[in-house]
Amino acid sequence: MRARTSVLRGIVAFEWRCHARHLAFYAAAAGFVGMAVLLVATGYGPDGVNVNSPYVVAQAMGLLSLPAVFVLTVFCAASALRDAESGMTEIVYATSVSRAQYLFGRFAGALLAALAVLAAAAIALMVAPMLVRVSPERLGAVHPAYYLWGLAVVVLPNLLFAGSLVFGVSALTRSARASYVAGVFVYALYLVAATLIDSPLMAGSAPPSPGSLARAAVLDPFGPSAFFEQTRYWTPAERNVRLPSLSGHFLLNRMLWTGVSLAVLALVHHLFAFRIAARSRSGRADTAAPSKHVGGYQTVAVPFRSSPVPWHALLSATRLELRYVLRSWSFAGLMALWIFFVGMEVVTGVNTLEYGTRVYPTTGLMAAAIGGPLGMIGIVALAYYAAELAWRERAARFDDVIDATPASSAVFHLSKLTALCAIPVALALTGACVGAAYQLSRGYEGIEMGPYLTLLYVECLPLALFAAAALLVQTLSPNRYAGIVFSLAAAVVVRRGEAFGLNHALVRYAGAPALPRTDMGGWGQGGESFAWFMAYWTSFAVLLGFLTFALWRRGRAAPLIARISAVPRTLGRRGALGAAACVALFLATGAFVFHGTNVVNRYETDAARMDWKAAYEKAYRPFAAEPQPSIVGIRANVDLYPAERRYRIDGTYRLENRTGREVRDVWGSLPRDIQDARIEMAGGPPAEHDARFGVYRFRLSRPMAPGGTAELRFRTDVAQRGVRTGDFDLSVVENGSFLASRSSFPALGYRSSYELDDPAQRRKRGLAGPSTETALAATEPAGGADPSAAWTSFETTVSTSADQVAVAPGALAGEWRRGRRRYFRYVMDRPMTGQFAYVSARYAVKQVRHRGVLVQVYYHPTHAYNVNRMLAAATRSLDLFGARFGPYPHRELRIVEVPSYWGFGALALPGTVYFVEDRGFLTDARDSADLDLVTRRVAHEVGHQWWGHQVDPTDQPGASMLVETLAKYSEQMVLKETHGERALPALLAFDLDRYLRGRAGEESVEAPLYRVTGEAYLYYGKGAVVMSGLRDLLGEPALDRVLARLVREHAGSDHPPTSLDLIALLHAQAPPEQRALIDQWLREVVVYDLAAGPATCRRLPGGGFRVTATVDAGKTMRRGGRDVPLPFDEALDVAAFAANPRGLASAGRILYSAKQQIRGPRTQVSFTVAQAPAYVAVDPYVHRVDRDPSDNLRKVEDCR
Amino acid sequence: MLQITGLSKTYPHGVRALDGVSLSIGAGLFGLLGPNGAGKSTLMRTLATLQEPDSGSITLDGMDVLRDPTGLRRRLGYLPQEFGVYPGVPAEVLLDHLALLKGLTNAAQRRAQVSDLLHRTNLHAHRRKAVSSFSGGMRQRFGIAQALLGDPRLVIVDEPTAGLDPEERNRFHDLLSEVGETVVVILSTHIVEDVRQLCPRMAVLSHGRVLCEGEPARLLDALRGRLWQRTAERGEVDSLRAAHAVLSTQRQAGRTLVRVLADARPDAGFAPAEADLEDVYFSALSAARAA
Ligand SMILES: Nc1ncnc2c1ncn2[C@@H]1O[C@H](COP(=O)(O)OP(=O)(O)OP(=O)(O)O)[C@@H](O)[C@H]1O
Ligand SMILES: [Mg+2]
Repeated sequence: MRARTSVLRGIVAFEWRCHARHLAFYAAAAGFVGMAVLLVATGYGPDGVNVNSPYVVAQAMGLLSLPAVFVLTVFCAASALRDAESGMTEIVYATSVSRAQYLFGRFAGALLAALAVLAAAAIALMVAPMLVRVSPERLGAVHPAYYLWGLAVVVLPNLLFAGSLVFGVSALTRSARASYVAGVFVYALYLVAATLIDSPLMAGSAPPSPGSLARAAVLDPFGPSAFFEQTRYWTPAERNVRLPSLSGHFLLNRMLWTGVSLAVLALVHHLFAFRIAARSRSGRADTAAPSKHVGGYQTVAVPFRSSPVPWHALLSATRLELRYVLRSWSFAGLMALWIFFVGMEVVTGVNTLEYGTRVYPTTGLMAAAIGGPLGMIGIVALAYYAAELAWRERAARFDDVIDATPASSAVFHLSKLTALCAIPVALALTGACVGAAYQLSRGYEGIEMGPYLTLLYVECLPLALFAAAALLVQTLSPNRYAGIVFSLAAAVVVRRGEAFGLNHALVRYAGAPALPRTDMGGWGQGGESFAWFMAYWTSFAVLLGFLTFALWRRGRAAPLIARISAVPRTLGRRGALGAAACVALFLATGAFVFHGTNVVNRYETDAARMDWKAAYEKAYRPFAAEPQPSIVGIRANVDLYPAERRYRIDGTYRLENRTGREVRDVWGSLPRDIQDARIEMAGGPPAEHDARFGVYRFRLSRPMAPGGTAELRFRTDVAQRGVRTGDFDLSVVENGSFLASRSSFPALGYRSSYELDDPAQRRKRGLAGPSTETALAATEPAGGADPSAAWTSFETTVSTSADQVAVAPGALAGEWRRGRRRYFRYVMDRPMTGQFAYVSARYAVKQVRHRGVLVQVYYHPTHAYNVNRMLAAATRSLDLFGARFGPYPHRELRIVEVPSYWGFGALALPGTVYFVEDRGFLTDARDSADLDLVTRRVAHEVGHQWWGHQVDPTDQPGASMLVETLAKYSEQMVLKETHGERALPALLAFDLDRYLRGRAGEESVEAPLYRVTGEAYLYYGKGAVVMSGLRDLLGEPALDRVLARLVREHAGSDHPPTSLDLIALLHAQAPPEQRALIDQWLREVVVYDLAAGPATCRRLPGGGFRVTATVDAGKTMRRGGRDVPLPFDEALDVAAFAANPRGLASAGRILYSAKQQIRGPRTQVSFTVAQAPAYVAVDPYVHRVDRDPSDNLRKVEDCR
Repeated sequence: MLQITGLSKTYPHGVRALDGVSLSIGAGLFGLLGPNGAGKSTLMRTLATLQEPDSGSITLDGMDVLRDPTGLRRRLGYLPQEFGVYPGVPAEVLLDHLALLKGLTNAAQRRAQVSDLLHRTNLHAHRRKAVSSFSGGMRQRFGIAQALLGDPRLVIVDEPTAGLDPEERNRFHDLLSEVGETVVVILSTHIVEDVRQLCPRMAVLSHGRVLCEGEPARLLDALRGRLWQRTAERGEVDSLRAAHAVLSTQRQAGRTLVRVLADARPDAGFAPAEADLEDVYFSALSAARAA
């Protein structure tokens, strides 16, 4: 026994020395130390969490353990293959070492080496914060234990898992290539796991149902999802000090995968035949009977030059190269992974949207889902196969024979290039098949070829250009590995060009604008620009092709210098001509593109744009306080020319000085890209124009007195011309135009929307941080009118091409055709808020007249799925809100579909709601178990017709609480009415999760709801739960009375409310004992921690069951940066179920549900039910902001 | 007619693999003898345009090979000393591919020649098998077949018979002789026997220099009457080496046969011996060593 362990130790020690002697070991260690330092230097981790906090350390170690797979692969392959490669196999196998000792010794050696590399990285992580500059507020005390913990709990099991697989493959196949393929496979496995797991973790995309999180946490082989599951609601303060605990799912995960690793090793041990592998399986039978002799040796004359292009040879070579690539194991592996990856992407990735709902798998969506990963995976595959192909003859030692043939190097170059290009094509087509299969499986019938085939152009062409460059790199590089590294490095530089100062797509090889594509808009404007960039880069790639041809290795290649100096000779006259033509084409297209991007259009880097914003703020902020008139009337003629992507506006604003002061200067602005504009004041002086900022200023000769009026006239003519690098103006496109007022109409005064938000960028440009300490006061009805509360009349005539329908706010007052154009006149019947938009597309329209309101849905003809549901939701919303909040102010309500590249989910403007294609129209609502997203969205946006367009709060903190939070309440109201009370908990669970995740990522101090500014997690997430709580607390009728009063007092008024007004109304309605709670929810940051404790059950003699449940309850309030516990005394819902209620949405008979008074941290409640209960729950309807809702459900111990 | 003049090549780390080689070679088989590292393969690769010499010139039928490598490749058949093939490609397919690379665009002719060569190299039965799975000798035969594709005017074969069994070697010799009737064939080897059987002309190369060149018979004549041999005990060999120009020693039944080059009988123990090509080879080498 002793002897055995010492042999094992000897083998491990020997292995360790072998690894430690290798350059690769030090290179890897250096690389990982570098990565670790880089992580620290770039401030890896969430803002507000220390770079050396246990949270960030664990995360960084997890991150580093992924590339470690490759190091491990190198070590394992080296280990398993060492003897075979050095011809020592026979000798080693003949010794008395046992199979297990041999195998595990080697494995342990490789594992040890990899662990050493990561230990070096861990030390670097620990030391780097003291060496590199880290912002001091993100620096905590140094605790070596965190790093040891990371190594032991995160890194070691990961290495063990990856290592067991890779080592197993190496040991069993004894092939280096198989080992590397296995390494890549493990890495891809991680990617797949990440996609699987990301879905519940990624913002907005998902069901945070504890079940799916738990599943991901256990099944993720590398553990990050288990880590995230445990820590996802931790606040920055907690993340700074709490070490994740090795318990629960995290423990289960680590145990499971360590177990799997050990099982793999055992299997390898079992399979590993301790004998020399058969050298080769191929038969070596020699010499059959000698063939009969047939005459003399006949030469065949070689035609001197049969054709200028050696088609035959090219064809044959291409066939051989293709066959080599497509039939290789590595390619089969790549394909298997790709299919799996695309499958994951289309199944879980793209079509899972907010609230766990799904969208119809349109072909456009599928193509986008394939296109994204195709670009990345394609590059890696091409870098690899470019090396394989370029060095193929040399690797097979066939080069002497091949190179001595008279075939032109072009034959080799082109055949290899063709085979390379076939790879992305194969990937794209396979991806398309997976996509189509998925579409079929979902019963989607609108499968199209077009979007799939465009992948060949949009994704494969740039990849083909990369392939051409990669071949050149391989031709220049001294060996294939250097070539792979160079081409990947180049790809990174090009793809992440911004980080390397390569901003313009003209200097980023194969760069082109990203193409937004939608069903409605097709390629928008992008297609043309993309094509020009492709022409430009293709001519360059062909030039590279000529160079590659001229530099092609022939025979024992001369040194690089000699080959380069021989280029003029090897290129030949025809080659030189071709190359010259390419240069000419490259320059010509380049000049054209440049003219488009930088002369016709504005080209600006992100930094330059931020500079511009800062300059605007510096120049015009001082004038922000100047009194300005309000817009009280809008008239406009708008002509849309969709096919030409052009529009003209001819409009008039009626202005009124509603301030108490004289207006001396009237000033406003247009988006700066609108160059062709005329703005004038009727009877006023000409405008002073600041073209840089698009600002116009009228210095009035006679100031506008308070109450005085004036007229502002403007004409613009905007057309999309020339090539762009991106930032396409998608307002007016061939189909699906959406022209918003703020991007096409003049605005008066200072545009605060131009201001920079990011505090760091502001500081860099010498701007003060955005002031948050705005005083907030309830409006005083006695005070003067708020000038920003402008209500305006609106009438417009809009024309478009004859095949389209144009829509603007207001009632349709007329419609006619003139020439080949169609005209619509819209008139708003009462003053509205000042935002509006024009749309035009080939719409289908469905409408109902509902109690005097015309409800219309304008939709893309193939997107009819949810139109009826939308109409039903809209009319129901009108009824409910009309009855509860106050009458709907307009005679029409329109729901209009716009292309999905617009950055909003839905947008409510007066009388009109705009939905992007995939956030409503394409929602797959067929499964009634899913949350009814369509109804929710419609209700929410219709709600804004009250919250936002009647009650229009001033732009102060808390405004979003009046607009968005109340819209969230409105949607709850409609969902409840449509699907019953039990539809709400599922919705609220998502909202609560949004809040908890949002606050975990809050970089500064979490605001109370009544002072919310831009934080969506507060006004949507927390707001929804708080409203649900208020409804429960006050009762629905009382709450609705409060809201109705808010509307009554503030709708369309010159006295816009603030959040304090709402709180005051709530106070007035609530009995005194509830006011403290209202304040805690709205004016403070109070978080509950509720849990269902142990529950027992006793069978009663007279039938029925007596349940005794424990409720753990607590809540804390943020005070001076600390969470202070509050005493607990509230009535909470307690419920019992016959089966797991699973979010309450569908089944699970409720046996009992009632309020129980919960006092103090632990309360016993008991109640009687008729049937044996399986579960009890506290706060099942999500009325409280609970920091961990997953422990609110508890299994009842068996009833006896 | 292949004309080589003043060909020199020095490898990067200072090995002078060719040192002013000049040869003129007409149609027929030309044997290139030389010890390991003599520079044979270097010379052949240079002739095959796979690497460039540092200086010197090569012309084939008046055409400057170094200026127009493609021109030469069009007329070249080359069998390298060592070569591999694309894995997994059947012999027939690969041969057809190489024929296409050589410019045989006429499908019928190409197919006929491929099939003919497969027969001649006795590989026809294996034509569907991957060349990469062939045995060493079979692969060598495949190499011969591909060298003869098309219409070569210059055939360069670098140690072609290494690894062939006697029967195949004979078969190959026949084939080469047949080819050599019209074409320049250069055969490098260190097997003197091959040269004797095949080559009307030969040269001995060592340390990158041509030591002697000519028809084997002439070269033998030069040794006639100057060659002596005796058997010696093991202990004697060293003293004989010191005293005489020993060309070769050969073990024979426990004793050693020593051959010596001398104008007169060295001593009574020696008997006159019949010169063969091996002696030519050794005498050239020893002369070079002495120089
Ligand atoms: N690519 C190379 N780089 C450096 N030195 C080389 C190279 N190829 C050959 N040499 C050296 O040049 C000399 C001649 O080599 P060459 O291969 O031409 O000899 P050879 O006569 O063919 O030998 P053999 O009979 O063993 O095949 C040798 O010393 C060899 O080490
Ligand atoms: Mg040689």
